[in-house]
Amino acid sequence: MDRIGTFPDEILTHILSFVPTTQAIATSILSKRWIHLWRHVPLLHFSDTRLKNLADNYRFNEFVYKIILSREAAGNHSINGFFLDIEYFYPKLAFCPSNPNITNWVDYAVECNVQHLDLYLDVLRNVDKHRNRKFPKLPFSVFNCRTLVSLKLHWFHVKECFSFDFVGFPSLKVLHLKEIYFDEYEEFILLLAGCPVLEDLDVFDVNFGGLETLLEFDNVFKSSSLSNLTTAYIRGCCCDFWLKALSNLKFLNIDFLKAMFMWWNGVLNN
Amino acid sequence: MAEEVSSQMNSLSISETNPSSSATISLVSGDDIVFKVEPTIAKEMETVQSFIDETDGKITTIPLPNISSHDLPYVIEYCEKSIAGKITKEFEAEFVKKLNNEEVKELFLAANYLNIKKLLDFLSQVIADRIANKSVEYVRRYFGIENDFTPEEEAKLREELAWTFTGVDPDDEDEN
Repeated sequence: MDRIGTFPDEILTHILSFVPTTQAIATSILSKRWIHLWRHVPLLHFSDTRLKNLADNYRFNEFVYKIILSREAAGNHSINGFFLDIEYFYPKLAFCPSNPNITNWVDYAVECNVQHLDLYLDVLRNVDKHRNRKFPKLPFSVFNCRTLVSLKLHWFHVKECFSFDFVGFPSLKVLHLKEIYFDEYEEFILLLAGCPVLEDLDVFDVNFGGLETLLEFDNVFKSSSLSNLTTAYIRGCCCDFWLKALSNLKFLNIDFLKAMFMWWNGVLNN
Repeated sequence: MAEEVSSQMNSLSISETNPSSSATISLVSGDDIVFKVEPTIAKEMETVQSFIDETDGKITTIPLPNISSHDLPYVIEYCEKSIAGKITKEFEAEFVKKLNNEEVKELFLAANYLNIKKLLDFLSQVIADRIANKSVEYVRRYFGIENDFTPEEEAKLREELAWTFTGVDPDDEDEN
């Protein structure tokens, strides 16, 4: 006889934490016991969200709020992971109706001490997206989230001055930044320097408004910082990089201006 | 597979602890087959390790009545790879390829009982992948869930949840 069906709720919600939230909700139909299980899943996972037009956008926003309220009403105030993956049919949708709502959700996740934050925004027709070089604004609250263990961002604008409040990510191990626009190069460096236990860095197509910096890298990066960094991909990123920060790497893949350099296991260590 | 396994194991009764072999830990499956493992392997299994700790390491033969001799080698293999730091996507893909639905569930229960977090998370993902985009009937069969809704209740709920059922794949042939 199958024993999984007779498992305690915690085990079943654990399994449900590996499926997108929509599918977890769909399990309500399995039996009476399952109606409420999805509300106790400790993460929110919205994958493959495709928004064609404003109506879609409003529906999705409403849907997310409904889910948050429904979990709250069931007494679930914990969010270990918040994963959002949205493809817009045209760039404009990512701004007005969407961005303020994403900010609300991220603020909420940060209040719940989220550990894994994965925000992936994109536009179906990439041509439009790149014509204006305009990026949706990253919610500032991200930088106050000291519980973060992994942070993955795609297509965001990091406005200047976030570093005024930034006290660092003491537990951050994974940092992936793709198609990100920083107003100030300096702040990108301060962000990296604020991740003392970082193990995995992936930087792709990161651009900067201003490249000037008065920072002395040797002062910013204390001798201990980034000493755990073992994997780094750095591609499409035109800036100085502090090589000492990469001294403990086991794997490095740098691709500057389409030229490919690869160092495998330990070459850099020696 | 069966021959391979039988070469590693000798039938012992649970009470017969051999003091000379205190370096290794004997895990006794539900069907009374003994598997000798290194203490580092036992450390991966929280349930086993806490049992050893509670008895100050005096007891090195651990009965695992809920785990069969069919499943235990898989668990040990995963733990060995884990200690060696060799859990790769490739290894996991190969590992899961060997398992049918029933075995995945059995191993999941074993990992839960032994409290091996990495294996539990891995198998949760496997189960999640195997029920992803499947019909309600398929998932009910998979978990062995009895439908306790009246037809009216179910129809109403299906209507409310209609938007979550888009993109359901046709049912696979049941493996079991």
